[in-house]
Amino acid sequence: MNAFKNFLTANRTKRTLELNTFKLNMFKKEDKLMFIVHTYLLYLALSIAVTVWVARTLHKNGRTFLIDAFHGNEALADSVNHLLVVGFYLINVGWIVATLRTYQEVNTGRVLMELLSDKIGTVLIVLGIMHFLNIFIFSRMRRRALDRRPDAPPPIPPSGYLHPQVQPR
Amino acid sequence: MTRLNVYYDTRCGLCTSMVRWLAGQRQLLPVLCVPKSEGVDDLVVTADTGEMWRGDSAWLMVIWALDEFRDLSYKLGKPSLLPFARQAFATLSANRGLLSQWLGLKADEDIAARLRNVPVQECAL
Repeated sequence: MNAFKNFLTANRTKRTLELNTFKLNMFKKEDKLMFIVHTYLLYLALSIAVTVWVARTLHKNGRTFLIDAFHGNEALADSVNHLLVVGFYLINVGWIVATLRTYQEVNTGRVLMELLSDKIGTVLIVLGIMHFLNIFIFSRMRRRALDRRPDAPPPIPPSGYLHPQVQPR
Repeated sequence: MTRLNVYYDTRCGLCTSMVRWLAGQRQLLPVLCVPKSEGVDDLVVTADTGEMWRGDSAWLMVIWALDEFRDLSYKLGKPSLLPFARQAFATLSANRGLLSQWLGLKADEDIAARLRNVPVQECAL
């Protein structure tokens, strides 16, 4: 900032004090615009990369849960897996893109980093919540399937037996 | 265990309606409902493996056999909810006559008695 460099002691003849505070010209207008574009592009690239990574993890590792949940029917498990991943992408990419806009003035590298960290941090937290929700859904489906196996145990021990039980001597 | 037998009270309207409702539910193992003999006062469920459940345990077994209520039966069978389930069943069971009256539920015995009074023509062949 150039405000206090030399004008306080100069121009005694004019008996005026020129303050240079508003002649700050650190960046040209085009450069100012570039900061925000860079921010948006970085935000989109990083958020979508992380979303793709999480979706692929869920797709690969959730398959095992689903196969168990559908009693070994692999075709059905793959189909449901794919549908869940599509839904996951829709919600997450939709949310990322919908919350892209910011009204913050981005003029410095510092503001860029801080804004990016705010936005990407929120995206990661939402992805984390979706991830745990998916795991919860997978494990509930598997639990229901396991409880319905033909050899599932009764919920309560019997009150007695019809046939006399062999007593160990 | 491949099937369950449920012994119900034919003089109770509530039991009869429950049996009819059971027939329409999706069962994970076949449930056969049999009118019970006079001496027994509890609901009784037996399995083909020789096990036998009475009273509230029998009720839990009945809902365990249904697809929609199997998760509920496991939850109610846990120590945290079991006393509540026992209490609920005991209350229902003790007041089943009154409940049948209030809800206007007809028991098997009532229907059988009415049918016996219907005049039937002799078959003239």
